[in-house]
Amino acid sequence: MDFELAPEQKEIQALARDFAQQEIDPHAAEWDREHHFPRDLFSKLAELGLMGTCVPEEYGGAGADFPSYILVLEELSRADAGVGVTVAVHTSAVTLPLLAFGTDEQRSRFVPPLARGEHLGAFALTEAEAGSDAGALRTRAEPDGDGWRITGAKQWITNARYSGTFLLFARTDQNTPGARGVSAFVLDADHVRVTRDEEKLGLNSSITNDIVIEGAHVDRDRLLHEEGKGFHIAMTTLDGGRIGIAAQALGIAQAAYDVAREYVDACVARGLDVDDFAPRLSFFFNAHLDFFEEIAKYRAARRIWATQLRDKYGAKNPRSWLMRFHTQTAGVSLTAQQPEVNLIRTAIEALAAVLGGTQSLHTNSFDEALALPTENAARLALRTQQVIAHETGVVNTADPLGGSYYLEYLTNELERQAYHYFDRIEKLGGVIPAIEENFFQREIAEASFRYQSEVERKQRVIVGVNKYVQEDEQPLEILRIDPELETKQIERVRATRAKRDAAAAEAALAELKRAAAGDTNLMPPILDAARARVTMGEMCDALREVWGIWRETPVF
Amino acid sequence: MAKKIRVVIAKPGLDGHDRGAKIIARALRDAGMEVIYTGLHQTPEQIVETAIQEDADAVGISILSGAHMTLVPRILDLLRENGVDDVLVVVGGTIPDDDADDLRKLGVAAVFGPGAPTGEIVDFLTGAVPA
Repeated sequence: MDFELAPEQKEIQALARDFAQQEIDPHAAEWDREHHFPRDLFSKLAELGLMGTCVPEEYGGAGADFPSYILVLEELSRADAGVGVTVAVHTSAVTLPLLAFGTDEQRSRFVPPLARGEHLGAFALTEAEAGSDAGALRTRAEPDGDGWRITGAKQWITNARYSGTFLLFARTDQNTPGARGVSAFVLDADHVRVTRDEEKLGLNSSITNDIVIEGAHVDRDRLLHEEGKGFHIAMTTLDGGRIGIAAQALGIAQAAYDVAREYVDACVARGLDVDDFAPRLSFFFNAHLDFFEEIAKYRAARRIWATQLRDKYGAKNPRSWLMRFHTQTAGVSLTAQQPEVNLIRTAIEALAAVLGGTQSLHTNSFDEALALPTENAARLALRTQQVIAHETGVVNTADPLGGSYYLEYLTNELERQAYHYFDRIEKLGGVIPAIEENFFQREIAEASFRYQSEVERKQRVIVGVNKYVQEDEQPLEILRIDPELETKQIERVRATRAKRDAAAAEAALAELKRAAAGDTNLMPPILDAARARVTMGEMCDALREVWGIWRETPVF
Repeated sequence: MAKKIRVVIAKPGLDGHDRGAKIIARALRDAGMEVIYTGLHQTPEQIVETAIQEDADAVGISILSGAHMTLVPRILDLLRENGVDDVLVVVGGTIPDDDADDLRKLGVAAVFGPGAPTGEIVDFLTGAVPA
């Protein structure tokens, strides 16, 4: 399989790039300064098909694939993040959910005008008192003839002033508080009154509004999907944006998983009973900073493991179903700037790992972006774990966040995405072909680069690095390794080699090579070699001699 | 069109952290440079050989293991021994300020630590490599 961009994808990317350079770049600074919404720009984008890049042609789109759409967003956002947001909301938050959840009639009616860019789409969920807790929204849809009468107010609605199609969320069941009483509706511009333009601190070329809905009547054919399923639609839609990051973080976990499955397969193929070795397997996870996402990651991982071991591999021993894992806090989240702040980052990451049920934990030292840790920094890293273990009480309950609507949702979503990844890997022929084809390496490189780009564009705030920068930082005292140590270590190895029984060492190495050339268990000859004082370097050289070395094809 | 700047991004020693090296490689490529990434676990000899064979304008060495004061001087010496005096050597990674000063004295053109924006590195190379 070829992971290069396909010719059509490159073509669309080039088209978007040229457009961005000619039509956006020269004006971006001015638009931002003047808070100017470039309405005409979107008509021009529509002429190129880029207001419906990944919408099928039968619905008025360009019929390209999803990656092409992402490439378009990247190019637009690079020139002006505000333009990127406008197109992203229009497409990901309105057009695509209509395609995904609409009836045939709804798709044919509502999607083409959006895909052709005749008007913009707006996603109307948030309310003054229902922001991050969207399930608490108050906009009401009450039975009215054969439809509903909708009344309420929404705020922070991107594109609203120029929108012809609103995906709007309202409570259809007044007796059911929370997410379950909410339904999704498709509204036109004349159902809605725009009351205010939001003053923003950035993304000034996009437009954000308050809107009111004053008893607008809508017929049954305006209900998207089923009654009470609005929250599901809203969350699925928001995934499109936020799960990108989760998928990246999880991508690595998934790779680990698949490698583990490969191990299990290999052991089973050798005739071992799964219950004889599965309880001894353990995983190594990395804890990043997106708190709930991290907790959900571990919960999803445990659930997948249990299901796979029980149902796919037929493990009978409940201990085989338990996923044991070690967690290390994320090195990449450590900053060299204001390094003490890393203590807080590490504490939050460690807490997420504990709440997610880790069995073993490594907290990074706060000075590790600068050097190997000092005694003091390492002690503080240990103290961080001890505070969590002994003072916070979070360890007293297993899975204390189980049942939280948000975490359960995230866990389900990450689990779903993980299985999606498994399918992709299976299509490549399994883990080893996927490694050989650079699948994981590319996923990781892409995710890292995207993360870095977000930091540099300040779309992702890193305290002390791209925001709240301190100019007059005092240098931190760091650990210095005595260069003499290297000489001493070399001396020790030499002395050991001189003292050992040379013939025995030689024989052990020869035996190791013989075993490596065949397919017998390598552990006994490795242990024998160690007992004969063969060094690790000598053993590795012997194995390299037999097997050669893996040369990666660099992907970046 | 101006000649493309050719850069070798190198990972010497046993340090397996190449996330940063790959990000830099991609950023330089996106900025229009020819980038050759050596892969992990290279010896100083291999890096110098790659630099010569690839006719590199610059070598970017990424080290997060703490072994920079051993590995970088060795690479500089080998370049000199091979009569290479027109290759810019740049170092990135977890390099303490004092060591960065010492490395610059030894002939390293620039040292970029954690948090350095990729744009800064692109600008530096564009400015420092003769057109």
